[in-house]
Amino acid sequence: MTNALWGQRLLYFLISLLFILWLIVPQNPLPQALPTPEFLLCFTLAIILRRPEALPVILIAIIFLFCDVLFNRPIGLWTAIVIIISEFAKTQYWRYKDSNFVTTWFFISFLSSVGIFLYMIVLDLLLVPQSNFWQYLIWALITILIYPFMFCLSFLIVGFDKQNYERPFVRKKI
Amino acid sequence: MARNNNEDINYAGRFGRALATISIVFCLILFLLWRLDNPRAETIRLAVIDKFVPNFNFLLTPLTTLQNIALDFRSYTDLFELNKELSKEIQQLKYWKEQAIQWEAKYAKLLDLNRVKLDLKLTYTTGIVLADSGSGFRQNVLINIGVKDGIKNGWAATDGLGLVGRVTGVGESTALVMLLTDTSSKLAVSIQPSGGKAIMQGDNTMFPTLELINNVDQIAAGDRVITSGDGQVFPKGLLIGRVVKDSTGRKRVSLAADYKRLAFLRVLRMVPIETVQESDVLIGTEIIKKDLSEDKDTLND
Repeated sequence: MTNALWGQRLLYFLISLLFILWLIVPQNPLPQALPTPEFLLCFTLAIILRRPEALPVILIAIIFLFCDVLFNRPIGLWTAIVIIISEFAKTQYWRYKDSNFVTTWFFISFLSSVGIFLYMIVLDLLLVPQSNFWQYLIWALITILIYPFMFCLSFLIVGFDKQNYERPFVRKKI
Repeated sequence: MARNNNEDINYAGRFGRALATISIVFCLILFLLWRLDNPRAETIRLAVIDKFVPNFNFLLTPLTTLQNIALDFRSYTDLFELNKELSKEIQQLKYWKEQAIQWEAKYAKLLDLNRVKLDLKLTYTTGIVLADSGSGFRQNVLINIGVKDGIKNGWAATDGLGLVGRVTGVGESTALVMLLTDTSSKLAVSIQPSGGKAIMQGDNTMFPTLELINNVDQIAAGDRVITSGDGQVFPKGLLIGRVVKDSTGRKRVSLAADYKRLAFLRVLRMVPIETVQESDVLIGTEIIKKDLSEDKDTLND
């Protein structure tokens, strides 16, 4: 069991690294007018809501700090927000472990929007030069839209055992 | 659904909570340090990038190739459209070519008449783009030349045609170029032919805005935008792009550099422009002052 857990962590680390590299490759294929969706946040939350024990805080912190440094973002702020969100999601695991996909999606949307707007507000308060509100709104929206894909990708890590893929789509009778 | 507190405790025990709190506080402290001592934080960031990115070239190269294949595929679909437009453009270019030859001859003749001593030409170093910012919120690219190649902060980078941005950080073998579209990019520009001055400011779109234009009424869409050389950030007269108007009537710049395909960047070596600041200042005033004060000291003794 512990071995499997470490395997999952390693896999998460490698996939995140690949994501980061894919994002910093020049000539990003996504249109420049749109901000890049927060792939890693969705990916992390998708895993947490199915296997909260798979992702320790330190791993999340390392990955996101690395992102902050490489993506030329303010160092540390986004990481702090992501840790807060993911810890909150861990405490809410019992509530969502049996619910269907759409309910989880709503919860994730709520979490990521709150995170993104918190980020915007803190940067605004500290007078860091910023892009406008609409771009943050679009950022939040496409982050929400990208969640189903990241959810599918999370199967790679939490595995295909029956309990796992039935859980998100079928509401269990209590 | 019954609430189950046991699991709650299992997944985030007391130790886990403490660890989470510590890492959140740590990140917030990092952020505050970044805000308060920005230059140092950026130096550290560059050092990390400098270590990391070149090591992952073996992964970056195949990823770049993959993305280029995808992009090329997209461009094949536009090929037909493009062909039509190109043939139209060729016609126009022929006209310009003719014009250029005539001008060149005229220019040579005038130079000869004048016997002008030309400015020392700007020399440049060319670098390959290694990575871009990865998010739509910061617009910069990383190139593979740095201190080793004599790159300095503040130098201009072009893609051969138009200005792309400026070097904002230099590592041992990498340099960070902030693009003109970044929100913190501000640049004094001059608009030709009217000669108006303005500030071009990036706002994360492909079209930076023009602010504080000093002769708004004389500026029309299509005017050329070049660097004005004010503030001595950039050499004078580098091409930036053309003026366009957006749907709200705000004036913006359509950049001449092809931002969609930044593969090579030319960093212009800049020789600082010498200027005369004050009229007749005695050279070495400080030394004289120092001497006087020393004299006083000896008198007091």
